[in-house]
Amino acid sequence: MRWISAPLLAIEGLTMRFGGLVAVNGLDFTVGRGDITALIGPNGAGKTTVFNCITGFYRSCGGRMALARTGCAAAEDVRALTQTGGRSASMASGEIFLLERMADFEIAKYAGVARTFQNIRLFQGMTLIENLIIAQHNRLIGAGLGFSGLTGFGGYRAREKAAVEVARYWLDRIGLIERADDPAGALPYGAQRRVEIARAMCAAPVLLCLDEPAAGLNPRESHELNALLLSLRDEHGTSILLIEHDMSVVMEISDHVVVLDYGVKIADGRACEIREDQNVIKAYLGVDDAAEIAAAKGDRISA
Amino acid sequence: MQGPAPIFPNRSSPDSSVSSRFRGALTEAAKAGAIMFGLAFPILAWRTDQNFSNELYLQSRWPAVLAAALAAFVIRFILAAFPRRPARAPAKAEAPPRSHAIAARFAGSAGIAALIAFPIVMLAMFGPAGAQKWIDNFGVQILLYVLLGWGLNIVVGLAGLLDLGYVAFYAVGAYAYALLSTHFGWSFWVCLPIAGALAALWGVALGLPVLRLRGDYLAIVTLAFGEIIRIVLTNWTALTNGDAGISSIPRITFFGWPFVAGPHGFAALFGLKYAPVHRLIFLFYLVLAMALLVNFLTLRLRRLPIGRAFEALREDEIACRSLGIDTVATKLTAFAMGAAIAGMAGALFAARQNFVSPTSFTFMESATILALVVLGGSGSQLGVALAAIGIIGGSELLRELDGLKAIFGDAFDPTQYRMLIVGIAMVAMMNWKPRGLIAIRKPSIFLIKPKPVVGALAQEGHG
Repeated sequence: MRWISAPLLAIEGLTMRFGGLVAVNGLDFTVGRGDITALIGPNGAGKTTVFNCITGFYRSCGGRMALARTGCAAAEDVRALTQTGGRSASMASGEIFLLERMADFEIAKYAGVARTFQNIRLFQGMTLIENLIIAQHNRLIGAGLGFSGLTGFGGYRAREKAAVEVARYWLDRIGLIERADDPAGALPYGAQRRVEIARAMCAAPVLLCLDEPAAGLNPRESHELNALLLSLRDEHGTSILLIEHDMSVVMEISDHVVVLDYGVKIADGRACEIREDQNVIKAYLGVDDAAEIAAAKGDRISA
Repeated sequence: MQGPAPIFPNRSSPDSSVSSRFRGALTEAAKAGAIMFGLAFPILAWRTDQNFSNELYLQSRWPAVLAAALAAFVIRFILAAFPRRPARAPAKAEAPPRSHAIAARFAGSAGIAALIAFPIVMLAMFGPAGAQKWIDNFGVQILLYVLLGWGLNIVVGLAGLLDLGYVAFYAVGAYAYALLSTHFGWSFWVCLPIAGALAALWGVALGLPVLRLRGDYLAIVTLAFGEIIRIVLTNWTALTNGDAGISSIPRITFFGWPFVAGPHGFAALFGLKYAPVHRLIFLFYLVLAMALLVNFLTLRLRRLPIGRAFEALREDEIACRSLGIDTVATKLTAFAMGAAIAGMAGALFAARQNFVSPTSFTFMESATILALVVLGGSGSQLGVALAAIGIIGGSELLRELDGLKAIFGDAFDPTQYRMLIVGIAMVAMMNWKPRGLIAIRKPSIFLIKPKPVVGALAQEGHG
């Protein structure tokens, strides 16, 4: 129950409207530090919208998203920070960022949230190593300006070397070190998914948001993905928030599952609890009447 | 002309398949000929002319119509009857051979050597008076376009921001030097960095409102920006002297020694006999030095975080933001860098012409510079330089083709067909190499061994 005892991200009353359509309505949940948290729900439930709000690609219409880069997002400190009108502060419980007040790149840069995309967004014409170096942009940029960067000597060279080592480590981890100098666009789909995760990890995030990482993977690849995600949590202490439809992934690795339907939370708890939850079954199957399910199946066959 | 192509070629005997192909080709050719006839009739058949008493009369030119129709017929027939081998499947993931990269590298050094030797060779071939035209019209002009092409290459080729108003920064630089030198008597060397800085400022000024625009919308706004600058230059007569332009801009000096006859001139300093070509040779080497400096900085830039961020921005802006890259600052830097180079090129242009007027900074110039970048291969320094030599040098060279008169008669004026030929060459070129002359991207860093990336994988940028 780390999502209660040590919340990394606390979301309260998150609301997102597109014109008259309410995509997310007063959503509350917390993400525990060191947890793998799965956000699931039927198609159109608003999962990706929640992601886009957390990572700043959408400006939410209301609600509070407090992330503690260090420590935990204690409710009283979050409340105090909200009242000051600031975006971030070092409080007694930890270094807290109010994500709803920050722009997308600031969330990645300062709050330490990295993400992947449902439709892979790699820099296709650039090689894998370049992709992974760009992810470390903010660690390099300070040294990259000025004389040192222009001539390639001094401090910049040392930092670039360190960045290459980080990239090498992650390429090795995802088993693509041999293809480091190939353009990302030339890789097969499953490998591109892994590169996107490695690229996000190069930014050294505290929270990694994965939007359907197992989509389009075969069973062996999704099994490898599970192992990779578990090692990110256990070895690197990265907390993971993921959207996933593949229940074998969700049930096997999640510490905490949040279920959305029509923009509202319908269940929240451990994977084993969610599996038995009547609301969730209803949301996924539409009805809980066995006869009607059978009828629906019959329709599908005759159609 | 002939009957329709056989619908069931299988029914005929095998050896008649060739004749059926020719029959089909004949039909195609007849159609093309008829279309050409229909097009040529209103355009070519009659021409109005004036006789000696200034009366208009119609002159018939039926042979020209027939010639055009016949040409279309023959070309279409050949294309249809002898089809090319089926196009090879695009080798998407296949890396280009390494020899390309070596060739490109060799071409670079050889090109620099050729450029350094160019004025000396011209001087030896044509003498001090004859060499002037070649060094000025070919040498300096092409190098100025190379400089502009390389500047725009940062914005379009690296950062993927389509800028159709690039000439505005060129104008800012040219007018900055023109005004500062004529009003305050500031020297060229003081004005050069000021021209660059002012243009960079305007680059940021353009960048700020268009930050949220992408693709076509960005192109339109930059186009409008280019026109605004030109129209302001035309109408702000109090400052710019309007269409009449600014004349008697001080010519370039050899670090203070003017290129004049007399005891204080450059020739006297080195004990040479005065010749006007000295100034042009100096200008040539100056522009060459500037261009090489820009080239060095751009190549270096590609290996720096900011340069990599430019390319990442071209590839995928949303992914950039998700990695914490400040895309606003990155875009503004790209605009400012490109603009600063154009501004300095503008100052060199004003020093070369010793006259500036708004007519030098029309949309046509922006389009030409963009064409250099696209034809050369976005992002490729060597490609842009080759395109500049081909397009600018080629179109200048076409002025010289008086020999064609021997073929087409004395009435034929090759200069009139100059732009037509350049246009056809550009269309043919883009058909032959759709991603530009050099469509290979060299990675900015490698882990095991560098492999060039085929251009087809790189994105073109969406603003």
